[in-house]
Amino acid sequence: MTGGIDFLRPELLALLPLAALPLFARSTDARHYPHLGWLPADPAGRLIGLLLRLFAALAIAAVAIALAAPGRAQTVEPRTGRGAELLLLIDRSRSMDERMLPSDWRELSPYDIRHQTLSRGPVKSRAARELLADFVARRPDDRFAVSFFSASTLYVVPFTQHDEVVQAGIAAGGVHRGLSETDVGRALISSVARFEKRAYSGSRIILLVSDGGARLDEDTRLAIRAGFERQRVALYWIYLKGFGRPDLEAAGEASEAIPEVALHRFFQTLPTPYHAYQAQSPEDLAAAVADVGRQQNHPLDFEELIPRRDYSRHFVALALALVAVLVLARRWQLGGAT
Amino acid sequence: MSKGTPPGRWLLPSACALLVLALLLPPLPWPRTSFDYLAVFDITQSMGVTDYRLDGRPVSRLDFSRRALSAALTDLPCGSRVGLAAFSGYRSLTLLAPVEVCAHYGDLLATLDQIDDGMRWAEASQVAKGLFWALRAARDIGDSPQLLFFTDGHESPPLDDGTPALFGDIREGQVRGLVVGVGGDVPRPIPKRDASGRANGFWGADEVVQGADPARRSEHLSARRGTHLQALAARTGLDYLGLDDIAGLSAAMRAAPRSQRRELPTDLTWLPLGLALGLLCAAPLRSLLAPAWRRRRR
Repeated sequence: MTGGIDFLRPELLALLPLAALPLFARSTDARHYPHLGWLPADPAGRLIGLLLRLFAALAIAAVAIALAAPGRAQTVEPRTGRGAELLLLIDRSRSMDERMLPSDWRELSPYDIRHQTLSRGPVKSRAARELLADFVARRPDDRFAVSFFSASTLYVVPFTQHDEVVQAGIAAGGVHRGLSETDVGRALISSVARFEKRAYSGSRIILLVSDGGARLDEDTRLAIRAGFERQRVALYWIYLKGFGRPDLEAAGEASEAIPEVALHRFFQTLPTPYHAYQAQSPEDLAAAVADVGRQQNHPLDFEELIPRRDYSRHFVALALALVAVLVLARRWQLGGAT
Repeated sequence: MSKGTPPGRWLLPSACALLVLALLLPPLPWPRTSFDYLAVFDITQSMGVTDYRLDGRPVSRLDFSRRALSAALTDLPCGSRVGLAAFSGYRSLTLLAPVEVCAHYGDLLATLDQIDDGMRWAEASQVAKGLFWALRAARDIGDSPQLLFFTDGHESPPLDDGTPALFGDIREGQVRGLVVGVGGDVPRPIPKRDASGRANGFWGADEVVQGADPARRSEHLSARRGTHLQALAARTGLDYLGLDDIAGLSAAMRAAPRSQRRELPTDLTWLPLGLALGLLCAAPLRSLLAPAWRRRRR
């Protein structure tokens, strides 16, 4: 699809009639000879003179058009690239304001770890935001949407290709502490629904960034499973494992009582791809984010927004060329006449 | 006139130089007026009261507020930045840090469209606290935007001790902006919505906290609490605006005290272009007028 030509300052097109001036003007630089009859007739010279007037007229017209700022309007073009539609579903509960293990936790004695984590470990939500911001910046072909969740789902940015807006959504997650409750089931149901009414275009992912689990009731499980199946959405869970928090892979029947393990086991029963990444430290988190980046690189049909293209410079260049010819011609004319 | 430099001989070369300048001139930082806002919407249930009319149809307070803001966005000069937040329970939560309005108009509208009571994360409506949290958000989000706080002022549970004191960490007048009072003057019943967003009757007198002296209270009805909001505005150092029509908001948002002078990359090529145009026209104009001058001189 190509957009029509439009003008940012169409009112300045009113200057166009000025282009007629050189056509009516008399040559100012003509020498005044006492008797024109003495001069030989010069059809070539007359032609050149006419041409130069035409050039001057065109130059004026080109400048007037450039002032009106012509351009091709913003358009949307279908394109096929590699990438995915990623919905970042970020836990905005208070526990996300807690700290995770510091980078050098392996060198700490078991006795120190707890204290060191509490005093200088990076805050989970902040570490996650920084990595997500970086992730988004490095994936220009993906479409991103951002939602927060606590007791309800807070839609922040619907799918967009404007990085700056996605970044502004991620940044907003850093303003003040989180909310008190979490309802991951409700958040997943409403997030899957975000893909409804969007043309299926390759790969769809919900990237759940959360530090807690939940035991979901049967209705919620059914709704989530149906939603993921219908919308063909893959689920990646970056589980920000706090110090002393349960391991998702904990074995045994009894572990089912642990909300995180229960949620993980339920996710494994989903009909669509599921990956869990357990991140204890910023390094784990970075590795998880990088891995998500590698996983999804399917061809993606999408509409690319082509920004408005300004053509003013073309007209300025045209005017410049014409005026340069006029300047040279004038010099040659005068030089030749003396 | 047969000897020496013909007058106006410098016109064309100068025009030439100006055109070269126009081609090479990059956008330069230039002080321009812009307006930065963090717009916070009350998404509690009383904002669902439909006491506005738009195009002949009744619309809710929240819908009208959002429509007013989206209309105002188109009137803001490019370079202005707007962020969005929601208030429910006792605090405001930032959803979108401020972004530039011209480049991201579509995205702002899309996010604005989604701010509704389905996002509500708590049932209470402590407007004063929500406003104070919003002040914190505007203060901490960077670039010090002004605040726009859209609310009907309906406190639930009701405040019986007058206007509460500001949080200790905020100074009065530290953040500037507008408390935008939304809603009609006639108290109306508040529609109930269940978790899935379906309308489900209205709140009854016995279902809400009536506060002191319940027999004489009607906290289940809601109108614009202008006096309360004006008191809150006075306490926080904000200004108060009653939202009566859409144009009123846009005008208030573009009032001089709300503006910021900021250097923005500005395309100034019109300047050399305009001058070049003048020079290009001067040569033929002179020749057209010259005979008249000459005649007059004789």
